[in-house]
Amino acid sequence: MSQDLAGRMRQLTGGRALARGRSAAGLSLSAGDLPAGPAGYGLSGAASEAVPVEALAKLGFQREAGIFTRRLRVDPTWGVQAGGPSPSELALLAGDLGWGAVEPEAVWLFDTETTGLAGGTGTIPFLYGWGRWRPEGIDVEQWLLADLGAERELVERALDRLATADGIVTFNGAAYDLPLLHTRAILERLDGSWRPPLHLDLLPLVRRLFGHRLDRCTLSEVERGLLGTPRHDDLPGAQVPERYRRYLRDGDAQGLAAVLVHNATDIAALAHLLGLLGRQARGQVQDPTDHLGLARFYEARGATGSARHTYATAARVSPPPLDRASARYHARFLRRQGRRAEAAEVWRRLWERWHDLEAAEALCIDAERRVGDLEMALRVSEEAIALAPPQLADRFARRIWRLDRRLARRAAARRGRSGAGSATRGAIGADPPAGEPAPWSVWLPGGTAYEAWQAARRRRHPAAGRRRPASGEDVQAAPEGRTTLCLSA
Amino acid sequence: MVDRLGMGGRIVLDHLEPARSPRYGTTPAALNPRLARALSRRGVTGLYSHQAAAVDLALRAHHLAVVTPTASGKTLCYNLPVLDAILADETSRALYLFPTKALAQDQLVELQQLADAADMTLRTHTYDGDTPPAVRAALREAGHVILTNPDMLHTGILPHHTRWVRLFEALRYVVIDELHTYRGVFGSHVANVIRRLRRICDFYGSRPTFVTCSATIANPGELAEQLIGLPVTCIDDNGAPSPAKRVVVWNPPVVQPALGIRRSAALEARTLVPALVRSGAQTIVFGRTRLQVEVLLNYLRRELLDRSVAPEDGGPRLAVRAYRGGYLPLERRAIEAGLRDGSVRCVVATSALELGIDIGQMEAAVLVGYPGTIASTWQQLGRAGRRGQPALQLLIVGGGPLDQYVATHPEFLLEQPPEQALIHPDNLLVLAGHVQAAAFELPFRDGERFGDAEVGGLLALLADEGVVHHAGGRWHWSADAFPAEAVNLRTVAASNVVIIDTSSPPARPSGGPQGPWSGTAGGRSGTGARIVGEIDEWAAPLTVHDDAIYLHQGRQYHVERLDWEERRAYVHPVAVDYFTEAELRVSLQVLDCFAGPEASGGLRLLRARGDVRVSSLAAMYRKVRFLTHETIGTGPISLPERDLHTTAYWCIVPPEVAVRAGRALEPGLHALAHVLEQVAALSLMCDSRDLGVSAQVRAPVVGLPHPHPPVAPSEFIAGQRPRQTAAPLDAASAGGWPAIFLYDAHPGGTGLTGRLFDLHLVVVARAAELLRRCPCASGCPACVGPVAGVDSTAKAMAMVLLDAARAEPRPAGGDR
Repeated sequence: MSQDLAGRMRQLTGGRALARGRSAAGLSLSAGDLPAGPAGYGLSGAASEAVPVEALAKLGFQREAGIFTRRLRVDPTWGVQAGGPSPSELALLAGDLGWGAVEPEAVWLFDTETTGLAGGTGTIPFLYGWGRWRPEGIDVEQWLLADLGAERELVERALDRLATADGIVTFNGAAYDLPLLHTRAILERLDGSWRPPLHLDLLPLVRRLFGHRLDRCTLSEVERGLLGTPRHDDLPGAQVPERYRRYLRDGDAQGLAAVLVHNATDIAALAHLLGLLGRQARGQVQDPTDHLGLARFYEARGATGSARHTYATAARVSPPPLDRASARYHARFLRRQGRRAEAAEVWRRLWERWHDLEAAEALCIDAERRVGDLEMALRVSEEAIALAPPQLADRFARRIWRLDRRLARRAAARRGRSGAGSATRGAIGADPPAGEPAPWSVWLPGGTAYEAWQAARRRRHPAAGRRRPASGEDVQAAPEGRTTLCLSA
Repeated sequence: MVDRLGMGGRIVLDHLEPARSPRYGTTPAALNPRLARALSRRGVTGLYSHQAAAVDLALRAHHLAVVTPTASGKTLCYNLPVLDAILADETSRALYLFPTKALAQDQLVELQQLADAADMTLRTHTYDGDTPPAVRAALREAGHVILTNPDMLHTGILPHHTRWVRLFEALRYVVIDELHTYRGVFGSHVANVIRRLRRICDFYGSRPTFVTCSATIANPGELAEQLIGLPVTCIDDNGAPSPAKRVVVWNPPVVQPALGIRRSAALEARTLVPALVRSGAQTIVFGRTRLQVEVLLNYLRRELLDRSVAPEDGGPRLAVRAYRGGYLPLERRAIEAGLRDGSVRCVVATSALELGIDIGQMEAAVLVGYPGTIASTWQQLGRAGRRGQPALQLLIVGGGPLDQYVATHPEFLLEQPPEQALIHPDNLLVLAGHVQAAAFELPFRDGERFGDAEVGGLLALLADEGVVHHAGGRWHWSADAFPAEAVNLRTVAASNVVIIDTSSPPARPSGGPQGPWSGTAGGRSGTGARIVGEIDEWAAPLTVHDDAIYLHQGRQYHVERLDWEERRAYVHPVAVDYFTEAELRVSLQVLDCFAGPEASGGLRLLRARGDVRVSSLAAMYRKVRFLTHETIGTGPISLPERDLHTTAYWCIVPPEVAVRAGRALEPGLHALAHVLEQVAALSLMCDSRDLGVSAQVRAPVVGLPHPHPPVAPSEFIAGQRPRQTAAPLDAASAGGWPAIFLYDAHPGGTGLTGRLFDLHLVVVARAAELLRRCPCASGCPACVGPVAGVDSTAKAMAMVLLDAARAEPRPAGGDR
């Protein structure tokens, strides 16, 4: 029966493998590279029911309350801080939420290995790794799903542990491990006992504090780039599902050894990383590029004083090109804090040193609104518009038009009669009649404000050539890839 | 109006359908009084008989198939019971499935209005690729009614059912609207998606009532039962009123009698439609293809806007719009609104408007070309019929065989029941994809059936492949893959060839809205190349082979390279004055014979059906100049041969008929094949592209002995030959039987050919009639196909062959 079906299937599909999803690696392996397993499982499935208890015992697994459990200790020579981070560090990293009262030794480090990365209901965690700080190092406990039919007890135990844990620490657990566990709980209809634990996910912290130093924010990249402990001979994560599938098919428990090491290393790295994050949060900065991330972290945690101090440091000591970005962040932070005079100083430095257009606009606003120095605002605007690409030039053109009018009115008020200043500006100095479109669009019918400004400028300075750079290079260098300026509210 | 055009001679049918007054039913007593009040607030005085019956049965948890024509108020049939359930229990949930996103949008508005009139809080929204993430989360948690489409259910909801616990635990109603669109391969897929849906409902302990709505087809109840796998009650007693309608079939005049070529339907529409619009009738024009719609729009705009003739009532300028797939949603909404408020006087549409989008009722509907099925014809004609006013429903037929069949048998439209919609959920390829997706969602228990399909063997096969793993009496998904993504509901072949434009940069930073790429293929931005489109792997060798000119939305692309292994075609835009046409060489081999060969009803063409392998090889292409259609060059195509394993129905010509046909046999066979293909498509509810045809003079036929020496005819007619399991291998070389094969164009078959086997007599009789009635002398595009391609005596030969098959046995000399 199965043989017939296989033949028909091959005819229909032209001999291609059956499942083709996101992962191309999985099935191509199963088709040819593997030693042939036991002949196809019959409907009874008896062949697969047997768990290779002895082979698992060789790997160190003991049956505890029906679950295959393996225990080991990672010693502190690995760089792990004995006893873990201090409660205050945990509280700062997590933004408290109750972490202030948690003893580090009561925290579980948690990481799972799964049958795939596709997500959804068909992805099964088959290895649950738990770690705990002890004075002697990290105690790791690994639970193996020895048989796909025995998932229920495992999920039940895990839910119990999560519900009773004082706190758990993961890397990307908020988006991956915990939702997956929740899914398994629902599939076993255990969702009634699901309690979201007090949870600290280190991935967002790494992104915020160290994102600029890493190509990808993965745990192995963190180890290589931040912790200085690159993995050797480690099983690549992408091969983990295949190892487990081979174990299921052929009872090849030996192949799981590398997975166990991989998982234990992940747990240890988690502990190591938490130590690093704790030191960073206390202000022990190792690298001059880290100040900016730290400052943003402080600001997000509401530590304004530390943030102000750290932003200033970042702007001072960061190497290029982070120095300019740091100055921008610093200035924006000061503006948000309402420290406009201090912000203006930073904006001025940005403008003078880098001809930063965001700074130019901010400076003009400051000069117009706070200082009342219209001449300076006009001067900066006229310099900036020559550098600005068209989409930004429009905004400076509007500003120039408005400043022109305000200056003209001011001059008129001084002279004690209404009217306008110079002949060229006279035409545009008057208020536009009500209901008309904005004057900068009336200047030249159909033209943009920028074109209008250029036309006016040619009238005023016939000799002036085009100084505008060909590309908007300056603008594109803004941090976070922003190409438009921030208009202050 | 038609009479005034003074071309009565071209009218082949002029039928007046009298107005029908409404019939009301009693509002079910069980319906929540708040809803009854809401109805009267919305101006509904009473429920039509079919609405009352549907609501009553749905409230009592009967699964339903409601069959009613356009604009008969079918949405109330499901909205009322759903709202009733939510009023009774706030945690109740409902799931609505529509074939398109636009329909879901449309129904959302209607549902919300009814809920507002009932003063109830209804949390509902569409759930598709356009739904913002925040709305998605809220819908999952608390949405009362989820409006979505089968594709989204398939990849977005079912594989993540644990996020939808609230929905599946309390799912009371599943509504499947536009049921008739779920036919063929698409329907087979959707039936399997419903099987998965029901498995998940079982898991969460809910038993939803299925309410399905269909346009008029021959077998709505059967289709609904196959689709949802449950017995349904069919409600087809339409109580909605309808105005008087004048149904006119218009056959364009013959312009070249020798070749039997008629004036094109589009040109006829160009004179007829402007006259209608100028006389003040709001008109909808249906074209058959997107291209035809654009061409018609162009013609009509010129006629209506640029002529100096003002509208007869001196009113404002007459707005003509087109409406087809590929327009942006906002643009569509604007056209729909314009139609409802009357500012758009004429709209040219593809079948996109055939579905239940609310545009109000028109005064005239003009179909340019026969839409291919009776059901579609009535769906489209039904767009005309405003209350209290007589409506004009005009069909302008084209020159093809189907169209001309309708022209010569106009009563066919009125008397013939509409087509059947067929699905084949157990198509192995379709089934295998969904069994994997289902195993991903929930492990299969030993002995568990999937719908009514036995899947133990398939699961064992999947286990051998390492995709599932058997443990603890259950089959668990164990592969690192997301199987739902590998199955595309809209076609059976799983892998598509992606067409990539190598010339254009990635989307411009300030560019407008991105293209309609929201499906699984996604516009891969940032890769430096733009995806123009996708094409399934069966059509790819014909359309995107090396050096082909690929046409997409009126633009020409030159195919630089087709990477067959990677399933990618690299193209760049060009402007040339030719297009390319590939030639396909098809050979067919019978693998297994399920039924027959046998005679039926005294006809001497034997029928049979079974599995076949169709090998097709695209070997060369021609460059054809636009307008003149002359061949200006040829080139080779070097691609591997493709095997299509599918089901077929075939007609076998027994030796004594072959002998009597004599020299007519071969040309007659080919001519007859062409006719049969068209008639078969007509007799089934299918696109003629769903069927392939192959005529063979010497086909090795399983189940029949070697034709030499000839065997006494009576033995065949008895139809009791013992079946053989394999054809003698030498049959092909030594000779064979003349036969015409009609095969399903989709791998594994979709059930079409089984029906053809049943309809054997009808199909052959219709073919004979089409040939006899066709006025041409020796074959024309309306019967045996393009004359140039076939012997000029082809038509006569085909008739000789048919006559020989139908005649009583007579001495061979008696013929001709």
